Amino acid sequence: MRCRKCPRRAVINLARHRLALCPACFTDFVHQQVARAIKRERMFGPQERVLVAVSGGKDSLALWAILLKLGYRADALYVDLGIGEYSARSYAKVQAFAEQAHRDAQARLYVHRVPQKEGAGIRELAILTHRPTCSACGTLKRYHFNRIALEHHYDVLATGHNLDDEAARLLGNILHWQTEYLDKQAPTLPASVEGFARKVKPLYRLTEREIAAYAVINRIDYVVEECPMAKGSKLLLYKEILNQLETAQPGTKHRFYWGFLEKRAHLQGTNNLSMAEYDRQVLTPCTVCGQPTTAPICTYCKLMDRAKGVPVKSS
Amino acid sequence: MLNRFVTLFSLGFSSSQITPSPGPLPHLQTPSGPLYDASGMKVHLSHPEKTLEIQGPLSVGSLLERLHLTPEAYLVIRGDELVTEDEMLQDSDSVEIRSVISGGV
Ligand code: SF4
Ligand SMILES: [Zn+2]
Ligand SMILES: [Zn+2]
Repeated sequence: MRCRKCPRRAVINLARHRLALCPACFTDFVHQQVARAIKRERMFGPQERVLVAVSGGKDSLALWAILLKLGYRADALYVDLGIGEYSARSYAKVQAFAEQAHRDAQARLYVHRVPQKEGAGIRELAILTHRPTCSACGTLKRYHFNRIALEHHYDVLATGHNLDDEAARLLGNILHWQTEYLDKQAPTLPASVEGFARKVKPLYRLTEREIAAYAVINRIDYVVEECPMAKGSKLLLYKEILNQLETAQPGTKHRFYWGFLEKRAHLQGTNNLSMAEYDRQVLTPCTVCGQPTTAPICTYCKLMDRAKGVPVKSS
Repeated sequence: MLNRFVTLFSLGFSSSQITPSPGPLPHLQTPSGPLYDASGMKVHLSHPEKTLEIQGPLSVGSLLERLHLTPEAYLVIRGDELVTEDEMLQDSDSVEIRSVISGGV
């Protein structure tokens, strides 16, 4: 197979775009898709400071690499969850990449170590507080992501969510008619309250396979193994089904998610209360830590109090 | 069309199949049968780690088909280079089939 844009041999065939590309043309294609996402969804400008959440996996490391390639001011945060060998291997990949990013672009890496700061690894914290591990993990990561952004004055928080992640989440939300979550599925979420960074997903136009291919082609060394806690997750089941559909009908995933975004934009035009306005009405600062929450005490503070066995009281 | 759904359900979305990896591939566990040949190409699968010997020449697309793997969920890497579905693989090749699916929550 030949590259559609030049005479070289193609290394990837994108059935959904009927496009076979060589390594150099594919790398350009990925950069263009991310640049288009940032512009179209008004994610951030060239002067704004971006904090990327990195895990050592392909999506987050590729995102950090691409933002630096495109000339953005992007630093990263790694949260060490204390999941044995898996966390050790992930951190090693993040650290190696960060050293390179520092040499090439003076980018900086923040590390938050859960076992040291919260007193136990995420699995132990989840058991102590009777929460599913992934839910406790989400609370913790969101909290520290917000905290670091606030302390170090970042304008934007970027995560490596890709087209497959968003399409699978959309399918799950629709199957269970969890319409209250649909608003949160936009690639750009405005700052909920003053002083808090907006959240963006610059990889929403790219599939997992495309991002993995970008990492392989550009020699980004990522942790191929999965977090052991992900086993049996619903999201993986939805992804598997969507990939079967995608193979039978190329373009299914992007038509599903992008179509939702278009419809959503139309609906928002008729809605008199924007999501940002709604958030401002229901969110107040947590009485313990000050982060925005709908309750007097935020989920993170409640979780940590329960883990320590201290009864929760608002001041 | 029907065929695709037969494949979909014969894979069985049991919990063992819904792993981020190619799964245990139960149909490949016997060290004999048509897929195995001591002189074939080395095909490496990650998570769970597994190396198969498969008789070439065959195309990347047919390799995935024979292992019942959805092309959209995998990359095929020969040596250290990505290859498209039409590329022919030879017995002397060292091939990695890498799952690209990840995600908790
Ligand atoms: S799979 Fe669950 S525990 Fe592991 S990183 Fe993802 S959310 Fe956290
Ligand atoms: Zn080319
Ligand atoms: Zn709090």
